[in-house]
Amino acid sequence: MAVDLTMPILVVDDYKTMIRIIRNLLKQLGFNDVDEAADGTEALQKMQGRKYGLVISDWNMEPMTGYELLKNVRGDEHLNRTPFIMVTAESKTENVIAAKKAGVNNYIVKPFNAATLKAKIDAVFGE
Amino acid sequence: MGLPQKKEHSGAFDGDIGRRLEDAMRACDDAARMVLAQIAQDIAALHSDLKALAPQEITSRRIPAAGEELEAVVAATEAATHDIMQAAEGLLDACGDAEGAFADMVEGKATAIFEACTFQDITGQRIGKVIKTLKVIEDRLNASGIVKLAAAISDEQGAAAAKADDDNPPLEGPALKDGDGLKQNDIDDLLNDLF
Repeated sequence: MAVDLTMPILVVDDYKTMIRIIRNLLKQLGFNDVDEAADGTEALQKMQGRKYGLVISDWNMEPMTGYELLKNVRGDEHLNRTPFIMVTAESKTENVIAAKKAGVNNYIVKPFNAATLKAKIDAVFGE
Repeated sequence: MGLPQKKEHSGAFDGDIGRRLEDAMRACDDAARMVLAQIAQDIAALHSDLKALAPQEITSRRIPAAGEELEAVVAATEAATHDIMQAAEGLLDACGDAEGAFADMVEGKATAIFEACTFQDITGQRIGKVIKTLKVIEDRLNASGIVKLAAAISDEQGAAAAKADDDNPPLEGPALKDGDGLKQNDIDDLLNDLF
């Protein structure tokens, strides 16, 4: 499946700077339709109102973490097919396994670069 | 006759046991005195250690100050990251829709800047963990009663330690926030007033 550069992407992070970085990197990769949310709760609300082609989420946020957001998304019959990439500093094996079990499509450890982001997005969409 | 014999024997035994008891009590006294002296020595050493540790100063001044310093580091790096990214975004905007080697170079360099800026999130998280650990240490010290005990031993210890020495003022590094320190103009004015 080719990556659709026009698809809307939701970036979820409680660090404004990180959202800005990811937004800029996505722009460099050709993605211009990027929304943002500061935590899982806000992300879920946005996802109820708009169909996103991809969610890129941090893990460590309050009150709803990225992991809880992932489980909520996978537990919702309307949202459960949304591709989901976790971008986080949590690099322990158990975190990656838990995210995989919860249904994450890919996992990026911070710090990361544009090439890694592109490679993971391509992998999610089977390129 | 059993009874006098018994009494005679009993008297000898009483005298012997009396001496033994006296010896034993003297020995006990000596041992107890030694133990008590050792306990007194230990308590004095503990007092001295507690004074040197000054836990009340650690919980009331040093840990909160360390937390504020670390929060200031996060705020400063966040502000610097914002400025760096704004400059990179400005370069990209200046290039606009231009194409060619120069535009590619600018785009590549701007991307490298964005990538490098992820350090701020990582360092922010690491420093956040250190701040939490400091808070745990502060809470546990306060809960343990060590602070109150040390304060009871030496009420003036903290004040004495905190008191600034005019000839040797403490070094506190960069000001945490506006108003904490003098600005260059204030320093210039002060120096002009002094000399």
